Amino acid sequence: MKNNKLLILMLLSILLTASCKKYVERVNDDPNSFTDAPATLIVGQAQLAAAYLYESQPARFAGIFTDQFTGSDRQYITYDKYGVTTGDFDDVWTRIYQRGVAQAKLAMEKAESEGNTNLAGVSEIFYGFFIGEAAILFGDVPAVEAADNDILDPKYDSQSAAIDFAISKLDDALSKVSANNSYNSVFVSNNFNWKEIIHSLKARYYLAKKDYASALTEAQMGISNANGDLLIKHSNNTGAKNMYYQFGVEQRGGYMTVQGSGSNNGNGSTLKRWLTIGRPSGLNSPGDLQRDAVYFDGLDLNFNTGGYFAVDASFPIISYVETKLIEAEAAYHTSSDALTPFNEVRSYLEMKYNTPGGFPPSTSNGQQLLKEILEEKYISLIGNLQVFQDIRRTNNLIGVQVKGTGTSIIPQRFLYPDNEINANSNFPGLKDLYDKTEINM
Amino acid sequence: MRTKFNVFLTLMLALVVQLSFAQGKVITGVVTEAGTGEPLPGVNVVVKGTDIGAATDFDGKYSIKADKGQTLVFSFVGYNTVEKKVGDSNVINVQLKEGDVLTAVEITAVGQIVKKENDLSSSSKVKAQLIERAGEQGVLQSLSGKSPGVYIVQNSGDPGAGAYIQIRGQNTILGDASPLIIVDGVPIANDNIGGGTDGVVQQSRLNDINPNDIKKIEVLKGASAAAIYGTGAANGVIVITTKDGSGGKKGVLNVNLRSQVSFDNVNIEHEKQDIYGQGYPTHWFRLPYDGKGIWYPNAFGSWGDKISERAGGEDDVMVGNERFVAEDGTVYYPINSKNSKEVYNSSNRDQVFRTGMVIANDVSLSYSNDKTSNFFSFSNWDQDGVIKGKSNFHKKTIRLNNTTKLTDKFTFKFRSTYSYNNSERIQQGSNLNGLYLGYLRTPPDFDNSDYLGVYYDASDVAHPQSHRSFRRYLGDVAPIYNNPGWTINMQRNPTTVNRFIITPELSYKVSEKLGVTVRYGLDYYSDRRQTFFPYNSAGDKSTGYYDDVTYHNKIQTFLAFANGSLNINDNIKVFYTLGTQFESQYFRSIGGTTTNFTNPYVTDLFIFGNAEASNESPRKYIQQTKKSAVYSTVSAELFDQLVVEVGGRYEQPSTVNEPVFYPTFSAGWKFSKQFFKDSDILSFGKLRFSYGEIGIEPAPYLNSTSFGAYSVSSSWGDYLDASQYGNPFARSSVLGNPNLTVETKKEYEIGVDLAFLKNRINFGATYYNNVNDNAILYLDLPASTGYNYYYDNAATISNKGFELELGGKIINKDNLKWEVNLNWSTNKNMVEDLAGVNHVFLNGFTGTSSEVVEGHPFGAIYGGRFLRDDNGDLVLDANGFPQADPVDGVIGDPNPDWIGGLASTLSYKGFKFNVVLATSQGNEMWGGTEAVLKFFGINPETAVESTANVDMVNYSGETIPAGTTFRGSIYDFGGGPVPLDVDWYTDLGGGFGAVSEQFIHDASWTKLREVSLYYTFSNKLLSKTFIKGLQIGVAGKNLYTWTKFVGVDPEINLTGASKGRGLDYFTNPGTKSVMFITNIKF
Repeated sequence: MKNNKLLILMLLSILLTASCKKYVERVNDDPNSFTDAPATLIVGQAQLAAAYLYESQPARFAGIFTDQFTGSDRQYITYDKYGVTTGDFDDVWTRIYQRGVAQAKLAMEKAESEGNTNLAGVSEIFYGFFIGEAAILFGDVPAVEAADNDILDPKYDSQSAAIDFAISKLDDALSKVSANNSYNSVFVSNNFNWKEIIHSLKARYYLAKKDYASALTEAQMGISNANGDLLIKHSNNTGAKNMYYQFGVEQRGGYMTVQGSGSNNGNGSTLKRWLTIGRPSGLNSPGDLQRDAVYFDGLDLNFNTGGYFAVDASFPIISYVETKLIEAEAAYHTSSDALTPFNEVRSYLEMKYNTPGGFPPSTSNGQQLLKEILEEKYISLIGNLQVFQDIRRTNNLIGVQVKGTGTSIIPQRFLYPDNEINANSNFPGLKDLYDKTEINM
Repeated sequence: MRTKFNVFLTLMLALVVQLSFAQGKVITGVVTEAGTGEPLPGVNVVVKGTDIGAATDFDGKYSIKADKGQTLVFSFVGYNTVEKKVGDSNVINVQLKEGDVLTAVEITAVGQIVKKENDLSSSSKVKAQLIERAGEQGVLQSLSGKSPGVYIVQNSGDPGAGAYIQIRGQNTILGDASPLIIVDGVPIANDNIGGGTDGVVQQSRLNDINPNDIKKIEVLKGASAAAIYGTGAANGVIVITTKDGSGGKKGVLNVNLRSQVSFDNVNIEHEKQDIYGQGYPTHWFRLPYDGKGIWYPNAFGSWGDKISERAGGEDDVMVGNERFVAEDGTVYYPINSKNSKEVYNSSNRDQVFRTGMVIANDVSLSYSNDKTSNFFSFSNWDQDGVIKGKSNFHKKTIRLNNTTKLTDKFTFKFRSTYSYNNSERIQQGSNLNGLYLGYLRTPPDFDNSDYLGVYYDASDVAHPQSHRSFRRYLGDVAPIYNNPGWTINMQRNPTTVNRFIITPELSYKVSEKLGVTVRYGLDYYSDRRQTFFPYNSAGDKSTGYYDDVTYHNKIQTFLAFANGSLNINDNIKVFYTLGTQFESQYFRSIGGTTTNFTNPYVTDLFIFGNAEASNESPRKYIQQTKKSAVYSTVSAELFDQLVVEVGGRYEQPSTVNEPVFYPTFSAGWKFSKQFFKDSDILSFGKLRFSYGEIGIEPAPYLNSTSFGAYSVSSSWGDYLDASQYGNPFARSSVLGNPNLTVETKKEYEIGVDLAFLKNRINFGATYYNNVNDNAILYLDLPASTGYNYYYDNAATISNKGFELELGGKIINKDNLKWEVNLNWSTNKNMVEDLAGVNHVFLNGFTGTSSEVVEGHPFGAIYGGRFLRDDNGDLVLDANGFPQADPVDGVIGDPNPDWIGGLASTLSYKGFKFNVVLATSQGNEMWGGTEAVLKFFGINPETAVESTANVDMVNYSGETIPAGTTFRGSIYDFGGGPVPLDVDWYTDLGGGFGAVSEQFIHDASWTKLREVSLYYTFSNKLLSKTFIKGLQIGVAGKNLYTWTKFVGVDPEINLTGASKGRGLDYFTNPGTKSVMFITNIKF
C-alpha cells in the first residue's frame, strides 16, 4: 500500500517533468516590442539622429571649441577650457553609428529588398552623411566595415578614405532618389529636394578634404535657395522642442552662454564680439547688430520667441548659405569667381534680417577676401558643426579665441569614446585632443 | 508436580502483584514553562526504562503511575528534557526551559526533514521576540547586525524605504541580486522598483509583511542549502514563518496588544557656511582680483561678499510694479543693494526638517485546541517622516492563519494576509526638483520661507502660482532649482499598495513515516505611483508634469512533495524528500504621463487630459516568467555521528532554452559524540562540508533583438521624442542572444560548530568560496557595429569569506541573565573576468558611478582621476595644480572589508536591557554632495581666508598679488604652495570638475543599532486583573553613529537598494529614533 503510493507519486513527478518544457513554451516571446519594422519607419530614426548631431551635445562642443559659445556653469566651465575626456564622446559616437549609420544602412537594405529605390536612396544619403560627419569629427573611423552584422570589430579607415566612402554613398544615392523630399519625417517640409541636398553634402565633404575643384562643382549643383535648406522641425510640444532651447532653458540653464572666456569674460565670446564690436577683417556689416538680436539675448543665447534658439525654431543641417559659402571659398582656391557667390549670401542676409544696407557686398580679393568668406561662414553657421572643421582646416585663419590652458590651437578632434576603446580590438589607439587629423595636417 | 505448579503460580502472582504494586503509586503535577509560568499542554511524561507514559492536559496537568526510585522523563518539542526521580511525595511539578534549537526537528519550506543539530550549512535564525523588539516597519531591518555574512544597510531615512541586503557578496551583474524570500513555504515578490539617481526613494515590497506576524526568520546563506529552492536562490534564501496561533494556552482566546510610538530625527546633516553671501567673486566681474566677492541676485554661488561687512539694516529695494507677493502678504521688490546681515541657515533648515513620528498599533488573537489553531492579527502603522510636508507612510495589515486537523491523516493549513499602504516621499538626488539640491545650495543670506505667491511684472500684471527661490528671487519665471518649501509642499508623490498573499496547504500522513503535502501560493500586489509637479516647478517640469503608473505583479506557486524517513536499523536513519514545483510570475506596468498643462493652475487635481494630445503619453510593459522543477534530497544519519545529504533540482526556466540541474552535497561529523562524550567542557562539536550549485536566470526577452520608437537624447536631458516625428522605429542597440543560459554560482563551504560548558557558549566558523563563472553581462559592442551591447554568459565573479559567530550566556542565574552574541565576517569579492570589457556601469553618473571592473571588487566606484606619472605622483600644470586624467578609472571600493555585530541582553527579574551594535569597516563612498557644495561655496572648507605672501597664480591663471587676503586656502600639491580659491572649486576642485577621486572617503561606520530597556510586570502583580501579561519598553534606534564620513549617514545610498553602491549626491538624510513600546496580553 505504502509502496504503491510512493510509486504513484514518482510516476506523477515524471509526468510533470515531461510537461516541463510545455509549461514554459513561448513564455519568453517579448510581449512589449516588435522584432522587425519596415524601412519607411527606420529611415526616420536615422533622421532623428541627424537632428541630435546638429543640435545637441556635438554641436555644443563644436560651438564651445570655436568660441561661438562660452561654457559658463558647472561641467561646462571645464569644457570651455577644452577639459574633455573620452567618456564625454560616448553619446556622440553611439548616436552617429548605432542610430545613424546602422539604421540608415538597415533601412537602405530593407528598401532595396522591398524594391523601393527612392527610399533606398534617401536612406543611403544618411548612410553617407553619418560616415562623413564621423570622419570629420573624429579622424580615422570605421566606414567600410561599419554596421555590418557579421563584423564585431570593424576596421578603421583613414579619415580621407572614410570621407571618400561617404561621398561614394552619396553618389550612389544620387542615382536612386527623386528630386523631391519624400520619406521625410524630421525636417521642415519646405522646398528642399534630396538631389540638391546630396550635392551640398558632397560639396561639404570635398571642402573638408580640401578638394576645392570638386567642392566648387558640387556646390554649384547644391541647394539653390534658402527654401531648399534641410531644417530640423520643432514645435512647442514636449519631445519636439528645439534641443538648444531644451538644454538652455529646461535642462541646464546658464551652462552655455556667450559671456566670453578668460580675459574676455563678460565681453562676449568671439562670435558675440564680432557681431557687436565688428569683424577683424573690417568688412562693414552693420546688419550684424540685427543678427545679434536674433542670435543672442544679451550674453545669453536667444531662446525667446523669434530667437535663433526659440522653442520652435527650426535648425539647419545643411543650408543655402553654407552651400554658397563653400562655393565662394572653393572658387577662391581654384581662382574662380568667389565674389559672386559670396555677395549672393550678403544680399540674402540683407533680405533675411530686413536691413537694407546691412550687409553691403564685398569687393575684396586675395587673403582678405578669404578671411571675409570664412568670417561670414563662422558667423552665419552659428551652432553648426562645420564651423569646427573650418577653423581646424584653415588653422584658425580668422583668429577665434583659443581658451585652453597650455595650447595655442583649438581642439583638433573629438576624442575616441570609451565605447570603442573598450570593445573594438581594431581600435587604432588613443589620440591627443590636439593631434591634427589627416585632412587637416 | 501440581503443588510445584501452584507454588510457581503463587510466586508468579506475587511477582505480578508486586509489580503492579510497584507502579501503583499515582504521581500528579503540573508542567509549566520556565520564565512565563504558563502551563504546557501535550508534554510527554514517561517512566524511564518502561513504556509507561502519559501527556499533560490543557492546564499542564498530568498523572502517571510510578514507584519510588523510578525516574520520570518530561519531554516536549522545543524544550529541554527534564528528568525527576520519584521520591516520597506524590506531587512532582516541573518547569521546562525552552530548549536548544539543536534537538528540534523541522520541515523546511520545500519539505526537507532537518534536525538543527545536523544542519550542514551555516544558516541564521531570528526569532519573533527579536523582530518585534526591533520595532521596525520593514522585515529586513530587524536582521541587521545579527548574522555574519549578511550585510543589511538602511539606504534611506525616508518613511517606508527599503533596505539593501547582500548575503556573501554580490555575484551577478544583471540578474536579481536580492535573496529569495519564502513566506510560509512559497516564494513572494521582493521588488525594489526604482532606485536611480533622482526621483523618490521607493519602498521594498517586504514592507507588506507585518513584522509582528512573524514567528521566525531563517537566513540560508550557502549555495548547498539554497540549491533545492531553485533558480532565484543564488543570493541566499530568507525563510519567513508566520505565527500559527499555537503555543499559547489551549482552548482559550489569547489577545495580544502592542503599541509603539517613535520619534525620529535626522541623524547626520551637512554643515553650511554662514560667512559669505550669494554672488560671485570680484574678478568674475572683470574687476581686478581682490580675493573678495560681490553680492549678486539669482547667482548660483555663495561666492559673494562677506555678510558681516555689509551696511546692515533693510535691503535697498526698488519699489515699483515689479514684485513678488507671498501667500502671507510679504512683498519682495527687486533689490538694489544688499544691506541685511541676516543669515537664514537655521530657519531654512527648520523649514524642511521636523521630528518624525510613528504611531503603530498591533492586535493579535490566537486560539488553539487539539484540532485547530488560529491566528488573527490587525496592524496599523502611521508615520510622518523627518522631512516636513508630504513625507509619510501609512500601512494596515490583516492576517488570518488557520491549521486544522481534518482527520488523523489530513491536515489543512491556510495562511493569508492582506496589506494596504499609502505613502508619500520627497524628491531627492540629482534632480532640480529635489529637496537637498535646492536646500543645501541655498546661500546663507537667502530666506527660503516664502516660496509660493504672485509675481507682478513691470506692467503690474499678476502671474499666480509663482515660485520664488534663490535662483529666481522674484519668482518671475520658474526657478533653476526649487525652493525646498515648494519641493516638500507643492510637489506630490503618492503611492498606494494593495497586496494579498494566500497560501492553502493540504498534507496527508500516509503513515508514521511518510507524508505528502500539496501547497499553492498566490502573491499579488498592485503598486500605484503618482508623480505631480505643479506648473512653475524648476527645470523641465516648469510647464507642469503628471505621471501615474501602476505595477501589478502576480506570483503563483504550486508545490507538491513527499517526505519520509526510513530507519534501516538503529544506526542508520534515512530522510528523503521528493517534490515538484511550478511557478509563474506575471508583471505588468501600465501608466501615462501628461506634460505642458493647458490649465497651469492646478495643484491637487491629478488627471490626464489637461494637455494637448501630443503631450499625453501612455505606456505599458509586460513581463512573464515561468519555471517548472522536480527535486529530491536524501539525507542519512549514521551511528548518530555522521550526516550525509545529497540532493538535486532539475528545472526548466522559461528564460532559457535548455533545462538546468542544480546538485548539492553535504556531509557533517558530530565528532563530540565520539571523542568528547563525557566532556564537561566541550558539549557539542561538529565539522561540516558542503557543496552546491545554484542559478540566476537571465532577464526575460534578451533572446531577440527588438525594434522600438526610441527617442534620441543627450546625457544632459535634451531629447527628441520619436512620437513627435512620425513615430519612426529603430533596431535596438542591444543585439539579442538566443543562447543565453542560467548563471551558475558554485560554492563550497567548510565549517565547525562548537558548544561549550553545557551549551552555554556557542561558536561557529565557516569558510566559503563561491564563483559565478558564467555571469551574464552586456558586452560592449563598438557602436560602429550598429549595436552597443549584446548579452552573454561571459563574466566571472567570485566571493570568498569567513564567518564567525560566538555567543555565550555569561551569567545564567534565575534572576540575572546576561547573554552576549558576537558575529564577524569578511567577504572578498573579485570580478575575475569581464570578457575583455573594461567596465560595466551599474548606477550613478557619467563621471562618477558604481561599476563592475575587471580585477576590482563588484560595484567599484569609477570616475575621474588626477593625472599621475608612472610613480603615482601627480602631474602638475605650470602653475602647480594637478590635472585631470583624460581616462576614468577605479577610485574607490564601496564594499566593506569586514562587518560585524554585537548583541547583548541583560535581564534582571522583569527588566531586560538590550544593546545591538552593527559595524561596517573599510567601505568607501563618493561624497558627491560635499563636492558640489564646494563648487557652490557652501561647504565650510571654502569659507576661510588666506593671505598670499608672494604673487600667486590661481587655477585659472589669475594672479593674486602678494599681500592679498583671499577667500580660500593655500595648499601644496607637490609643486609649491598654490591658492585654492573660487576658480579652483568651481573647476577641477569641485564637484563639477573632472576629478571625483578627491571626494572618495572612508565611509566605515559603527552604529548603536539598538539600545532598549523593557520591563515585564510579574504575573503576581497582574493576577488580580484580567491582564495576563504586560510589558513596557523604551528603545533607541541608531542613536549614535561613529563615522569619519561627513555630512550624511554613510549607510545612505543615492541609488537605493540597487546594485550601484557608495554614492551620495543630495540624498535625503538618514534618521535616528527613540520609541516607546507597550505589550499587553489578555
